[in-house]
Amino acid sequence: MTVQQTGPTSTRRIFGAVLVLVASGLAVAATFLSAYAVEVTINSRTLRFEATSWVIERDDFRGALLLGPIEFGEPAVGAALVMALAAVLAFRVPATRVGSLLGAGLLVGAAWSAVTSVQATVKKLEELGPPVPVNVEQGDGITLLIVAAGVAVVSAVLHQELPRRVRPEETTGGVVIHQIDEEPDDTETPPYGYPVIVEPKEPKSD
Amino acid sequence: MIDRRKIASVLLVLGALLTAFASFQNTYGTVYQYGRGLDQSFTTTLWIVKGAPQTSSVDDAYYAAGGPVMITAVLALVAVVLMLRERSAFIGRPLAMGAAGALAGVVFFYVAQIQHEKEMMSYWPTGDGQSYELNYFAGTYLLGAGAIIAVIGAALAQQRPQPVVQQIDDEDAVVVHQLDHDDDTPPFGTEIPPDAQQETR
Repeated sequence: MTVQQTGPTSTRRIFGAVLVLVASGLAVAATFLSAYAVEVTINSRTLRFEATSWVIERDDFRGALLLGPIEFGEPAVGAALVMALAAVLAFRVPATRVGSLLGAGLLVGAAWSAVTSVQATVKKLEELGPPVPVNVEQGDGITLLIVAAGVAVVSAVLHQELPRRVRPEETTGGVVIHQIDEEPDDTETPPYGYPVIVEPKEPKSD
Repeated sequence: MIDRRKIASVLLVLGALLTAFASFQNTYGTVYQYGRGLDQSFTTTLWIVKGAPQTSSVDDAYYAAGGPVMITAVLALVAVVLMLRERSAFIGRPLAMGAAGALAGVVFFYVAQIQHEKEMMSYWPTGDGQSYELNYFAGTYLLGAGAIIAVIGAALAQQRPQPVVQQIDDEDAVVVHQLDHDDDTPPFGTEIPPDAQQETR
């Protein structure tokens, strides 16, 4: 199989760059939405803990549950910055396209860890053995972070310079050498052919 | 001069193995002194947390990042294997960068989470013999170093191989100097009329 690199900026890569920017925006937006919430209902009174990735927005337990924000804000913003820079700079410096892959990877790692942290919180609260049922919700922030990570991976792949097959008919414009053996023998016609010996014309005799 | 892609592969393998090894080392420890001789300490890896002395149990770590670290490290190793052959290198190179990025993301998150816990502990009331502290251990530094090495390796791996220009030194080899006009002699020569083969004297 013969492969060659695609030419300058293609529609696919421009689409990929736009999607990379979209994923970056989603990732940053996700950090400001609710990451998770813990809710307990005691005697028809609802106590709620809610946090984004940056701050605790509501804590009716006054710190008794020792809960805090899930710290995906910094990795997610870092990943978004790397992806956005890669998408913009790639129009001038194509080698920086690889930054969108690095950013997508960072975002996947952060999203994965955030989901693991929510699961760990659920487990931690279960182990406490509370007398009343405790409800733990995964917030919109983490859901959006997962979506951003998925979009980032797809867009980063689209953004890359992928190899493509070269079809034989694409080369018909150039010189085609059908057969030249590696070890030429004397019987083969040399590339410039045999010299044509032109016989002198005999004078006409009327 | 050593090939840059070989250095990249070595760095990727080193980064992946270092983070996998670090996941089993102690990453941080917390010491809670409640006063009146009541002390409690916990030592954490990416898999488990060990308490001492009151609770000498071994539980799953709260920030159990061992699984994600191992999976991303294995992906980085798979990328290195794919990069060994030129036919599969075009998959290996982006996979290496994605895996190294994910590894760095997991480690970044882990360190940010520990740092946040340390900040929270600094706000707790002290005095009367009470104190709380969190200390980083070698595992965290190894994790960070492994992730950085893997990212550098992945970045170096992105260099594409230069096209090989064949230089024909063999005097006997066929050299086509020019074939771009209709009046050039074709590769198999010009047809020779039978009469022309007889040379007249």
